[in-house]
Amino acid sequence: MGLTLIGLNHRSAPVEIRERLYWPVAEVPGVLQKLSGASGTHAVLLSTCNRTEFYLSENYPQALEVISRQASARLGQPLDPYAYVLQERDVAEHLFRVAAGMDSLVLGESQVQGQVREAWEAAQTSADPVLHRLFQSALRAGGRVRAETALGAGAASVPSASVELAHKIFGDLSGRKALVLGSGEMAELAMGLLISEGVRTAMVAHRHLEHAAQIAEKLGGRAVEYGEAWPMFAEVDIVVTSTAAPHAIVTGRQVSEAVARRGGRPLCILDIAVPRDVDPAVGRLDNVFLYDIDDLQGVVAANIGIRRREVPAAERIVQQELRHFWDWYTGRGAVDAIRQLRDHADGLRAVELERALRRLEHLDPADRERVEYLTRALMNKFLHGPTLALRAAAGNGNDRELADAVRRLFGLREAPTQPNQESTRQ
Amino acid sequence: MLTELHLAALTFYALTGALVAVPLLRLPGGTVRGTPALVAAFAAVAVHFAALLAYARTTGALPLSGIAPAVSSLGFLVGLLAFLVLWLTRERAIALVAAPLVVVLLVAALSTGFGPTLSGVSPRGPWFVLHVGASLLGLALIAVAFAASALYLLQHRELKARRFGAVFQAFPPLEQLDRINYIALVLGFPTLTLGVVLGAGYVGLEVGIRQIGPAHLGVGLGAWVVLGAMAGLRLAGRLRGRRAALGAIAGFAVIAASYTTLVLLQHGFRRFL
Repeated sequence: MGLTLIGLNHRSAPVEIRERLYWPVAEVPGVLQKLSGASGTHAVLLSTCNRTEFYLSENYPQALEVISRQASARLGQPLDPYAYVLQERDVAEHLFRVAAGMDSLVLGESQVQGQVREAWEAAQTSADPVLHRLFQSALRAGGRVRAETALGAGAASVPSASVELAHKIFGDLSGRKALVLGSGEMAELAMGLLISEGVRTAMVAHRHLEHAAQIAEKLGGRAVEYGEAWPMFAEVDIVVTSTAAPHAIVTGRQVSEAVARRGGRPLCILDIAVPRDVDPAVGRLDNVFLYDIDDLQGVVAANIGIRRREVPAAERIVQQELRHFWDWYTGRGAVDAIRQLRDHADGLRAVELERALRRLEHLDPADRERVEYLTRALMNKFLHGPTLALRAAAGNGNDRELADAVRRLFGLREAPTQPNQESTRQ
Repeated sequence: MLTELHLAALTFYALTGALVAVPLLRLPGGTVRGTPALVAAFAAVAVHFAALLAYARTTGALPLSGIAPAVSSLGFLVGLLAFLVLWLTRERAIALVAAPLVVVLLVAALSTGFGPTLSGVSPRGPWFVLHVGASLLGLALIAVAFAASALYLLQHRELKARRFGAVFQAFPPLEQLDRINYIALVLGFPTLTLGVVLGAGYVGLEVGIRQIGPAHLGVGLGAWVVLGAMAGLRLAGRLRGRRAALGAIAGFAVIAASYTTLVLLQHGFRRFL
């Protein structure tokens, strides 16, 4: 058996199991080295918060045992109930789908592409040409899916939906000013994303000034009390609210005057609090765009819907790339055998040609060239049939047996494996 | 040849519009990246340019005199400007308005016909060429402002109504559309002003005031006043966003409606342009 995968993911194991079997990237080379020492196998370890998977290029029985033993020891219980094992083509298809974000908890999420790349890079010394090629092909499939479909389009979480809405109003967010009212994990996450897009936190308002100062320091803004925040509605572009108030604290009466001074500039208000902080009447003011938590979840749902519709297109790309990889994978034995056969025949031809030309010294250069051409043509004719047969066998997956037969018939030795022969990066 | 090239350009403009509209239909796998639309738009503009070039070579005059050539030139300028917006911003939604607009202009040009007017085309002086050229460019810029404004109002409505469907996904951000509107107006006004000044020179030096019909004067000056008012308000910072979009659409509608009405009333539209 060739390609083998043993692992677990968010569908087969709960988070308390997954988190115990998570290896940070820095630890991965050591794990792979230990595995190689114990079983002699080539492997890549993909470990993320949603999956831990060992990709092996050859199924050494002891490799699976070693992995199972190590993982069970780390878990403190048997791995078997949570693990799955895939082989050959299923391994490649699975990895291609993972890299494309089709096997992720959130369909189409893009982070996994980087994680697959990191896993491959961490296994530069432990992976063989087959695994290098497998991961290169998977990354290419993932890249194509992202470029040619909308599988990763739009925001898929409430904080990123906040950013998407702000983008739809302002376009480029760099230099925009934001006001944060209250605290709250979701609001901080949303602000973190907005800041990463270039938004500047102008002010943080909170019922308790000390608390506001803490948040302001974290977000790079100035702390004020609620009362001072209302005039700022005339200056800032984005307002994020997330207070624990039991009723609306932002009303039309408080902010309408400030909004009127904006000169037609749009104001985006993201109310992430439950109960809501902003009176819906504020959203009816001219050039004010008010969104609450339901709206943000609506953006996420709409984007997930779009992503789902893109699955067939993504699937087609995965199958195309899988076919390319599989043709290469199954044809490897044939390619080596064909090359060896041709080298062998060409060597014999060269020796016999030289011997013959020594006896035919009277021939002029043009005739000598004709003789050489004749030998090449004969060699190509003789090798044509076996070459076609080997290629056809590769297509059917029977190339190994036939390649062995050819080697035995012609007295060829198997080509030695060159570990990093095909590890060129994309 | 002229008709065939115009029909080819018309097909490419229609194709551009269709390619941009595909994601709005929300078909499975219907997401189309910007490149095919950009290529189709480039092909449309290139073929349209070839058609106008063929006209110039056939008649020995620029395609500015006569209804069909002038309308086709206007369509070309609108198409070219929309292509530039598409190319520079990678926002293809502008083609949703610009492409049908150019198709309508080309249909109007083709139905008027290039053939019968060919023999009647006589070379005119530089005042005329510059006047019509600047005026058409000014009108094309208003058309681009109109296209951006139409998209602005649709996107504004979706954002206000909290609908996150196809329009929300496919249309550009509000501020970007407002900026396109602003640039088109601020560039369009001086261009049209130049057209009006050159028109005055053309009237004074080459044809005389009696040769100019009320449609010509009315539309030229009306467009100048409307565009001037809007450009002034925008430059002063008193008009932006939704109101600016409504203003641009109203201005475009006033110009188009007054031109059509005056031409129909005058019955002498062959003299116009």
